[in-house]
Amino acid sequence: MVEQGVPDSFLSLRGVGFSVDKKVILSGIDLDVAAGSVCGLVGPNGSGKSSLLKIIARQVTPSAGSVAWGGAPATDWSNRAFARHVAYMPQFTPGADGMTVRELVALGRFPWHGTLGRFGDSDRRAVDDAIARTELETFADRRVDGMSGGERQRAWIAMMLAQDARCLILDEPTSALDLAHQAGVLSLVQTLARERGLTVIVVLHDINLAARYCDTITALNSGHVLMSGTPADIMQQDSLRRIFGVEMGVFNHPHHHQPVSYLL
Amino acid sequence: MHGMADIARPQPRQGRGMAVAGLGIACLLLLLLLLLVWLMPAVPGEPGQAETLHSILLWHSLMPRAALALLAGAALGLSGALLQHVLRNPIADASTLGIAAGAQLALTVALGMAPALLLLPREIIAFGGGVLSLAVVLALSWRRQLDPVTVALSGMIVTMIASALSIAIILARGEYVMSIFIWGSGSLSQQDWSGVLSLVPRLIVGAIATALLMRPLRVLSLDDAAARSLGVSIHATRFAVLALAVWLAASVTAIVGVIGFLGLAAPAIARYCGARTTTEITTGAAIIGAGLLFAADSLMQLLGPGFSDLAPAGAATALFGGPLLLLLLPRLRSTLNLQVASVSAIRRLSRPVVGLAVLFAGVTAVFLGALAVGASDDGLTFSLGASFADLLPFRLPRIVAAGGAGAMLAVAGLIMQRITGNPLASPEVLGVSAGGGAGLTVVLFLVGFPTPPVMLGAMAIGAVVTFLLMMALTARSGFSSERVLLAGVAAGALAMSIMTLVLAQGDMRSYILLLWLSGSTNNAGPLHAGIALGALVVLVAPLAFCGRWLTILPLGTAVARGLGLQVARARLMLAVLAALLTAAGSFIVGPLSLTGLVAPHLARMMGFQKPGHQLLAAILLGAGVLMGADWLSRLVIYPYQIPLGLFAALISGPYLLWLLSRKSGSST
Repeated sequence: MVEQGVPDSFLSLRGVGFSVDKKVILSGIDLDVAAGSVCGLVGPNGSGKSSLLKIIARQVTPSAGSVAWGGAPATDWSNRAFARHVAYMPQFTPGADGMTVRELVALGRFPWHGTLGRFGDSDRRAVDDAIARTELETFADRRVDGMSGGERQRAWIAMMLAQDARCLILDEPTSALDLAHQAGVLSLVQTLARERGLTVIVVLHDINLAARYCDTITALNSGHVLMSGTPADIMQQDSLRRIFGVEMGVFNHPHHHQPVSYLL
Repeated sequence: MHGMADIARPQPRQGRGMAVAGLGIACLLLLLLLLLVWLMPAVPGEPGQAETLHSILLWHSLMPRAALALLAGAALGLSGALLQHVLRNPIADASTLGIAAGAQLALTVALGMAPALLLLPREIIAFGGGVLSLAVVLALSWRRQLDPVTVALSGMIVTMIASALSIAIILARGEYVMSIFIWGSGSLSQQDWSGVLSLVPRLIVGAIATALLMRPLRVLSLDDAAARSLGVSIHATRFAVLALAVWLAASVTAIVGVIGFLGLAAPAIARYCGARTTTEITTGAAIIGAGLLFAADSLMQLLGPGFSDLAPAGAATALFGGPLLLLLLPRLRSTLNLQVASVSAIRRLSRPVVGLAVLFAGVTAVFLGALAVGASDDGLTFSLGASFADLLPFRLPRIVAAGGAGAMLAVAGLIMQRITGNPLASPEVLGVSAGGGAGLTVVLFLVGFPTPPVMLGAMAIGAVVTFLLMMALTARSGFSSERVLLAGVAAGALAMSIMTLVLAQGDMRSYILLLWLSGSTNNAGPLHAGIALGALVVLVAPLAFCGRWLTILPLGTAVARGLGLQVARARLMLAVLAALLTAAGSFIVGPLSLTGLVAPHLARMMGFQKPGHQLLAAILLGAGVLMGADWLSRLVIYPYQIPLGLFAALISGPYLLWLLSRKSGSST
């Protein structure tokens, strides 16, 4: 479990609320994320997990409460400094019209060189490294919009890697992928986090995928944090019933012995 | 218990409320009529004679006019309700579907080119034009199952092309057809009851036909599959209703001219007031349409000095059309996802620099050709040496002006396409060049005879205001492609209706505006050439530093913000730049040329994908296209000349239509 209330923890949210047109979407969210962990956000549709992720990524401003990164309020970060620290991938990645993979990945260097700065050797190296790490070398000069869903998702992850941020924020990165690619993308993210000591915050639809790849899971329901803990804490029959409102059973995976849930 | 009853039976209460409201509005309208009669200016002269004259005016002008307003309004309201219902499209009406523009074009053609046609009743000619336009619009969107957004776009383009043709004919035969414009803006003034008498039976027939078609109409509220499974012959019903709606609208157009957007407003208000079933909406729309047009026309009479109209009623209702369209946009849902991205990027050039060099050589060739080759009585002539030097002061400025304007519009289009991430965005489609025209109109009203710099300034303000307003309105939807395009259609319609107010005056100001609309380079001198080149250099230079913005912004707000770009600031700066480029470009070639759409597109299709390469290629192509068009416009109907802007629109319009239909093929 994460220690509560450490002032300079990697990311901490206090009393965060969010409403649109008087409709309350989130309220009283307290959340701490430890550096170097993979943190999954789960919950039923409309529980506010995507909104929470957007608030964390500074894509939207919360209506109440505070978000602090490394002890400093999120609002104090300049745009580019924040982008050097946090990389965000939206749920629906836009069509990278006519761009090659290498050009897309090179966009990840924008926070480092800015509008007018030179695209130097270190930028080039970061791009090559990101492409190599995501095994996209053979695709580097292919057009992004001509690739399959899984390859495209890898290209966007490569862009986030080139951004060289300490934290990756992903909104349902597997929603449009088949089973093999879901596992491929998530295990890539997990390995990267381990190798580089990155912190990952990811919204996942599938509780089993979350249990398999995340270190901690935070469950949301109707705008509140319902519970937060390790996969083993969450994957309990009564916890799952409270989160999803249906009866679910749990058994241990015969090979890796992690808990797996199923509908009763 | 009490609360429960209220929730369970809201109907009677609402009904009574509606009845009270209706009664109130009827009283107001009656009051307006009484005011009209009471305030009618006294006829000067000997008392007895004046009294006779007064009663003649009352019974043969004022009364038929009031009756006609009510009838025309009812017919248009009914027509709009039918169109919207049968196309399942809340912004369908005679103006947005190109019916009005088509009817107007047909009448202009008849009046200007083939007077023999006028032996036919005007209504038949108008009906023919309206049906033709509607057929084109529906054919373009047929394969997309008449998707509302595609229909709206096609309607806008057809309207644009029809208007360009009408203006070309009017300018060529000004002496005969200038009156078309006064008529075209929907003046209701009457000398007798003939208009009323011809409209009454048509409205009755229309009402009966609607009543007969009511059952299949009701089933058509469901989607096609469901309607078909209920045994309704969808196509037959749809065509019958469309024909009825066009006939009603065309009858009104033939008698009083174009009454803009009434067919849009009436059903919308009816629905807003709580009309729910098909019967309620159609009757409600007819009644509200009648009330609206009568109120608008009475107000225009009362407000104008001495009962001369402040503005024709049609132009006045059109003024409300633009804002109303913007208001209705959030309700409009595309039934299919508009996949605009699939048009683009067929290939990438492996060596774009070589491609740019080839383009440059081509544009230079066009430039030299336009300078040296002209038409004469013995066919094409090459002018070299002394005659070349003689012709240079005439040809050089207009070619430079055309080329510069083309380049500026191309850059403006490219910026718009990139900041909205929408490949169909362009100064013309987004209504920004028409916004410049609205600015020009305002300054014509205020100053009378403004100097070119004042005109240019007013246009710049108009264009910037229009584009920023549009961006602000569509920002909330994250610049979704359909919202952007529809807001553009609305902005263009609003700006055009402001211009119609001046065109309808039929004085010198109308002529200046008409000349600007046509985008004529006949009078382009060193001043125009200087403005074109100067503005091009000053406005395009900053873009050298914005290459990265232009790469990142098409990816959308979330990604751009994630990369640390100051999205709002970047968008604002680029938007202002694009609007200024639009104003300067359309100052020379008018608002209709479509260069801003075509040039960036051609650049992409040729395979220039990186922003820098695309920008240079678009500049070359824009300049080349307009220089070539200017050259051709001198040659094709020698010794006459077609105004450049219109000529370019007539070339590019079909290209845009082809693009739309191709897109529909490839994305479904």
